[in-house]
Amino acid sequence: MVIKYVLKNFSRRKVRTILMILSLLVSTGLIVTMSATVETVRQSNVDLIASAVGRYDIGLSKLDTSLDPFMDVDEVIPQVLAANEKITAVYPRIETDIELNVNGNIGRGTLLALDPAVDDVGFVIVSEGQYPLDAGQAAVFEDTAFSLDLNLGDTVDVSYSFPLPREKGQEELAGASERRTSKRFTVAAIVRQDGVTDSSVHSGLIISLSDAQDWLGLNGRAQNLVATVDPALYETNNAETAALRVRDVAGSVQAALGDEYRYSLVKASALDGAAQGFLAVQALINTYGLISLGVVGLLVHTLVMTNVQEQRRDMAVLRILGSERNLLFRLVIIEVLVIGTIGVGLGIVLGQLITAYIVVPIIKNQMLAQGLNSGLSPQVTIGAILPAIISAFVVLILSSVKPAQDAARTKVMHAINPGVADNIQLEDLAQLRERRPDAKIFLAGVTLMLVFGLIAGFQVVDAFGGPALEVMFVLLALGLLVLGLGLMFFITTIPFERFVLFVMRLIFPRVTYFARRNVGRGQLRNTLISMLVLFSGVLPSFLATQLALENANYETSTRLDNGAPVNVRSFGYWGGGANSERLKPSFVNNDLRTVPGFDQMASISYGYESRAFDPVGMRSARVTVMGVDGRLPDVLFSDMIEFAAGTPDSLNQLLDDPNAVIISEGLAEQLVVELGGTVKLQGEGLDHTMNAHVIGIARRIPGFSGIGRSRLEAMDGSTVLVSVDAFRSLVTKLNDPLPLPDDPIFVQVLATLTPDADIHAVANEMGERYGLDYGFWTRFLEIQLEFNADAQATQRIFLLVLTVISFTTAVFGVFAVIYVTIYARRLEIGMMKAVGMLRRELTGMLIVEAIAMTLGAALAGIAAGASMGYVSFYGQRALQQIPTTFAIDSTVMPFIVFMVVLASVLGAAFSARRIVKKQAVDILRMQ
Amino acid sequence: MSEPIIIVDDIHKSYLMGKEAVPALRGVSLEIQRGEFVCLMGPSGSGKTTLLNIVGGLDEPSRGHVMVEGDNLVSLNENELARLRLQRMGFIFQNYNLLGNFTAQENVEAPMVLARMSRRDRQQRAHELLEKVDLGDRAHHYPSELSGGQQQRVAIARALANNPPILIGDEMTGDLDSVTGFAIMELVASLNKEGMTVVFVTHDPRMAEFASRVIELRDGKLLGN
Repeated sequence: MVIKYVLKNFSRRKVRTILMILSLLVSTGLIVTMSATVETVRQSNVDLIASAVGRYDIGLSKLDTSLDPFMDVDEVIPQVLAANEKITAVYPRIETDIELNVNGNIGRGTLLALDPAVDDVGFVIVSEGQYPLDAGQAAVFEDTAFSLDLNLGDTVDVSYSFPLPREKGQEELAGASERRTSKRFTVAAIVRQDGVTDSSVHSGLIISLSDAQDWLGLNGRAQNLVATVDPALYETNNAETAALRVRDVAGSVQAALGDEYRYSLVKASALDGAAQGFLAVQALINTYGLISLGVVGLLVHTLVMTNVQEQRRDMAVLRILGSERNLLFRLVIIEVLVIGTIGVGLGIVLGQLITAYIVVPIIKNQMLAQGLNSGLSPQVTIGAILPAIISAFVVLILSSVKPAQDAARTKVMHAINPGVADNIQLEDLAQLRERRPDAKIFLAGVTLMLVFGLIAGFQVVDAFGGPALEVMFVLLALGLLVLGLGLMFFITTIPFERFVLFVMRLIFPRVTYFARRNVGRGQLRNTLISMLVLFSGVLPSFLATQLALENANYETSTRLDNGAPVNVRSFGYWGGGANSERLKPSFVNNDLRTVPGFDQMASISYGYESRAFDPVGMRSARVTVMGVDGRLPDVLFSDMIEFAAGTPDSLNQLLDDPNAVIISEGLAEQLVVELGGTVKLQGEGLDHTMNAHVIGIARRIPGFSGIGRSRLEAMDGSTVLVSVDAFRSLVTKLNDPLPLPDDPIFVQVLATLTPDADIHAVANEMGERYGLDYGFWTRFLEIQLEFNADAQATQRIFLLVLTVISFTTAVFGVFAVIYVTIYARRLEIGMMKAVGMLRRELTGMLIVEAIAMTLGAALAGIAAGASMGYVSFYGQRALQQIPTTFAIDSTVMPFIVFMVVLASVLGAAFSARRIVKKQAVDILRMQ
Repeated sequence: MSEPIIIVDDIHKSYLMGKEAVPALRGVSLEIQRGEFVCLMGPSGSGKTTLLNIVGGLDEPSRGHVMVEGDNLVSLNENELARLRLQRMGFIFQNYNLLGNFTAQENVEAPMVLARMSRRDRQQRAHELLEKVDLGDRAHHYPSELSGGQQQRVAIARALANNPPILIGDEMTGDLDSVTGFAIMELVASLNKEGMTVVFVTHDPRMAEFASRVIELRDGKLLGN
């Protein structure tokens, strides 16, 4: 009987039923699509990573301390295969750095020798010529062919240096004589590789393994092995699990072969590292999904409540006929569950279709555009679907409980005399006497405890949890942020509505006259519709504002970080004490300086960790001492230098005064030292102190972290600058000889470019000259800005997609609420028509009302999100003492406004059409 | 001799009930003179409300013609009918049909807003009309704060807003107690004395006594005049 009644209701209220189903369909569909997309990308990530790092799973080579760097293929391969049944294939290779000579033109690259007949790891893509190769033939990589101007049939001389074993505990011997051999090869093909080996290998050549073995006298031997494992090991939703499975396989190989080998699991570790990023994206999508489902919940609540009110008389008749309250409660719940089952079911199908036919082809195309071949296939797993189903049904149940309770409260008097039914009846007496728990107080307590739980929970997760749990907490925090901000800013919907109406009144004065009163005085509808839209607007506006500020301040941040137009940082900059990771003065002055395009240059030493004291040693603080060589004011971004005392010129004075120091304002406050005062710097070894006089107190010097105005931060550590001579002396024990003038101490070189320099040419030159042999990283401000501009576009698109998701359901909400509202106001509409209001005026009035309400709420949501964005960004920058440029998002927030206005116009026009087109008398007759 | 303000000529009207056409009016013809106070009476289903709606331009006949001040309502399009109702008709309904979110004053102003009257003029006129129906002190009350009789008086004031020559009333005392009903009818009668043509429908013979002419309908036909 219940189901029959429910189904009859559907046909009686087609539009409302369709709206509920559609909103569930769209929200579930989008959540499933997004989850499935992340899942697809995550699983295909194995393939992407394989393409980037080589399509093999385990790489083996001898340790460089091994006396024999080569291995016997027939002996080792069976051992590896026997070590673990998950190993499916092992291939021998020789892969090493080589020098190429084409008619005197020298180039460098990688020699890759493999057996194409059996070694099917990755793809060799032939641009020209023929592959596989005969003896004496080589397949040259495209980059090498281009740089050395090689064509098919040309010859190339390849020089190979046999590796020298390194003595254990000792560094590689520099300049030791090496055995070197050369051979001439004919270019038979010009190729590029995808996954044969590391994607960074794009110069050099491929020859057949047997050819290489003959040439190098290594018959039956190889320099390294690559092994593949059973692909089933990667078939898990958890990238970390997949990576650990591969590690176990490598472990069994290690047990079989012993410690003389080095193992490379680049693919597994890259996968492991990427997993965290996917978790974060998934968390963000889940947050949007929950918001969107929350909006659907409000929508369902509104529509079902309207249904209950309309059905009140029927329900009262059922009660007269003897039905219990429980039945009425069940009627509503079952109605919602049936709608939910249809909507969610169709949503899952929609999600699968979108993933399979839209998302996956787009990702595939993008991958192809980047030259990546991928067997990407849609992954709509239970893991992607289940959260959407559970969340949708929880939301549906929650949103239908109140209407169901309301239905259960139907009195028989609603059928007999509706006018007095809501007064207290005999049947209400028991309820009046009953003392009930106050759910509102309980909920307030739960809300407050949620905040505490979140704070405490983060600590627990930090200590005992994993990344997934951490992501869940981030999700919860984001949810609370949206909820809290939304509720806090709800108060602003009214002024925003008034503002919108004020603007509308200037454009449509007559229809706004009516709309203004209805909007301002219609309490219930206003709250619901406003909340629907407001919550949807908070998170996109927050993220969009953050993004806009980050982008607007990217240049400032990058200029502050780089310090100069060009910043060369050796790997020693990020720690490590090895001299090999630092640059020699002679390299900077005689080599780096000769790169065409470089103009002024200044070098900075590594940071020496020390303490600074006031002259009597009462106060002290931790400092990082850096030696400066070169005129910093000539290379630094001068507009970003700020001194509290002294001038930027002191950076030049420093060079000639071995007893001078520039300290931060924070340190000056901590030590209570003024300009010209003395600071004692602790040097290396016992009794080693340097009395330095302060020639500058800086607030900010670009390129140098640890220089600021905060005393508290300075107590924890700050940067002080001295001359290179002073630095050398400070880092040397008192009785030890000073280091040689050309000992490597620099970790950073700041430079400017000549006005006519082509920045990309300089970057290429740096790559060509030092890319392979030197451990440093060059950053060019202009190139970084170019990259950021590209990244900005991608980020904006991502945000827009998320906004569309959260607002698509809001649009349904707006539509549904407007529909119900207009339907409920049909008598008023009929009367307005009777007194002479034109159809277009009526429609206009309803549209203006809808726009005012939704746009007011959208503006409140935008204000909430944007305010939070500004507060958090400005707060962070203030703490870091970095100047901030103001910015407003010009994409997502206008898009929100556009979507809301469009939804209002279409929703109101469509909903009004049914009623407005009727004759006044027909409208007045409607029940 | 006064001129006819409304001419009803052989009006027929049928409603579709499922697949069957149910006749509501079957060839009704009558003339109403300017300044008349006409009451339409008859049992339920006699067609009196249908006739009133057709005369008021709220409904259209299936056959026949209705002339209001020389305009044939049948030939007017929807917008022209709306303009006619706005300028030449005032409506009073049984259930008042006031705008719930508007105060009494704003309800009275509503038709004047539609007629593009200036703000100052319409406020002044609304105030005068509320004074006229003895609700000057209730101008800023919402309908929910007014009694049934007061609401109906606001509805009358609203009907007079654009100074229409014709007042149409559909069971305008139906929801009121008899004392309030009589008071409303006296108010309407006083408007008629000022020259307004009034056409109204009622079940109540006591209210019909206010009319200068009673037209009786039965089964969609005129019975007595």
